[in-house]
Amino acid sequence: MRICKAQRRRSMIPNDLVEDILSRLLVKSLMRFKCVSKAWHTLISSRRFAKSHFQRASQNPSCMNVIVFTGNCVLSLGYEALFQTCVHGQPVDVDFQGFPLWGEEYVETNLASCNGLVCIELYNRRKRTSEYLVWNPSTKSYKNIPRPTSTPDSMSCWFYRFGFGYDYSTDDHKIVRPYQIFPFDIKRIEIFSLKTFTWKTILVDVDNIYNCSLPLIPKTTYCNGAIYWSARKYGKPSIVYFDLAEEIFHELPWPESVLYCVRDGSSGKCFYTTGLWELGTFGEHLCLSVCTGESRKNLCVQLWVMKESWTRLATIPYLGTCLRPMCASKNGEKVLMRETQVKYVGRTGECYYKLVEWNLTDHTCTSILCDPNPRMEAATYVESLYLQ
Amino acid sequence: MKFCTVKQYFDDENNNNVTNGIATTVIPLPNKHLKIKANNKEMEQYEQELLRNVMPQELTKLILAANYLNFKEALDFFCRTVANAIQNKSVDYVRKFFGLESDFEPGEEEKLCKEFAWSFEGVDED
Repeated sequence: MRICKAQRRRSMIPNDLVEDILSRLLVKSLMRFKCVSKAWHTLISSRRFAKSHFQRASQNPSCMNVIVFTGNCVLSLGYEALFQTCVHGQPVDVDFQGFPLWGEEYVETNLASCNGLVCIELYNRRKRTSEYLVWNPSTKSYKNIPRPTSTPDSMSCWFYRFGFGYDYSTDDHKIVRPYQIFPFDIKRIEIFSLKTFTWKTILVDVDNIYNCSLPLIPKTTYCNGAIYWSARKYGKPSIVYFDLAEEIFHELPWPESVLYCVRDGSSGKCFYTTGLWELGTFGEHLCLSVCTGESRKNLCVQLWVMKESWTRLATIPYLGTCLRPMCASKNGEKVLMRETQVKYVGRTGECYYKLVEWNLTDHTCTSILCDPNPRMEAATYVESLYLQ
Repeated sequence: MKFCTVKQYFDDENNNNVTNGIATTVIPLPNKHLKIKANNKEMEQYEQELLRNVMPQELTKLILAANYLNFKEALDFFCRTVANAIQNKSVDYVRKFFGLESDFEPGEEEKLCKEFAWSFEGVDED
């Protein structure tokens, strides 16, 4: 295609429209087009453009991807791969300097993602210490996060599950770690800002955060500027969230009609399903997946979404496992979920994970990734230019 | 609002060399939009038909026309089309399309290409 010089000068597209066009491109193309000119390099590298590009991508369900960490590799699944047929993920080459993902004893890899970035935690179960890294799988850039300077001795405190979220008020991604110091029961939260690249610690209102004493602690969920924890308060399920802009904890009421205590028909005893619920997201809403029912033999999994208030989305059969909702298909008919199966060897339970897709209209379940994996972690992310 | 600027557009001397193609492409869009606004798929098909015979460089003219006429739906559609057209193209192709020239220092551009080598994989041949 050849355009003569005279024509070129006469019909140039104004800058604001060039920006509009560029904001529709995939990250791979944009990284390449940084080489077009200095102006384009500056534009594509700018925070402002990253924000507008992300805003457009987050409205486009096709820009949703899933990153999966198995016991020994990382796989990526694009939107076309999900919600179609059973597929294998694309292997991703990862080489994080000073951050060994596998092979270390007593170290587990945990994920959290939000607004185009993925936060990886290496948690040493023995030392009870954590290290963090923030990664953008689309631009392939990452940053090792420095250790918090004022972390108390890990033996004298208990850290709750970390969260990773986006603060709309400051256009900043943050890592949060609530913790509790024994024996005085003082609750604090460490917050890392990716923008300032520093940690800070603030005190938490004493009544606000509850002890997560579940042995298989569900992950945190990020949704609309807040990070949610599944918790327990006096034996009842409780949802606690931290608003990143206000930096305050709140409690979200449990949907009233959902029974968390199911009577065991024969013995008449209460069978608590407080261990059988998970938080996730459905589109841009918080989604609760809970195992409930009239009796122990009559269980089902209900999906509720938080809009103005809790609204029931669907009921699917309970097949003995706990499901974490991860993302919804374009038409809202299918939900990608992470299934947790617990296998008991004697008294110890081991978790096995599987990625499945539930069709909410015909109640069918399809496996996305092969076999249940004892160490699979998965997170969704939208293509973005944050962190280049 | 859309229609009164059309007359202005053609009266404006600088736009005298607008080809008939622009008029036949851009002008009918508002009516068609109103008729089949409810059905996105139909609109998509209509839009694909419309642009099947339009060369990429013509798109620039269409964008400028739609911008002048302040016709948002057409502008959105044309920008989307350009984005799809350049998505998998080389740096040189994109420069020619937008009428740009490289203003990097010698060696700077090679450095960038090396840094983002992975983004050059699978790019269409010029």
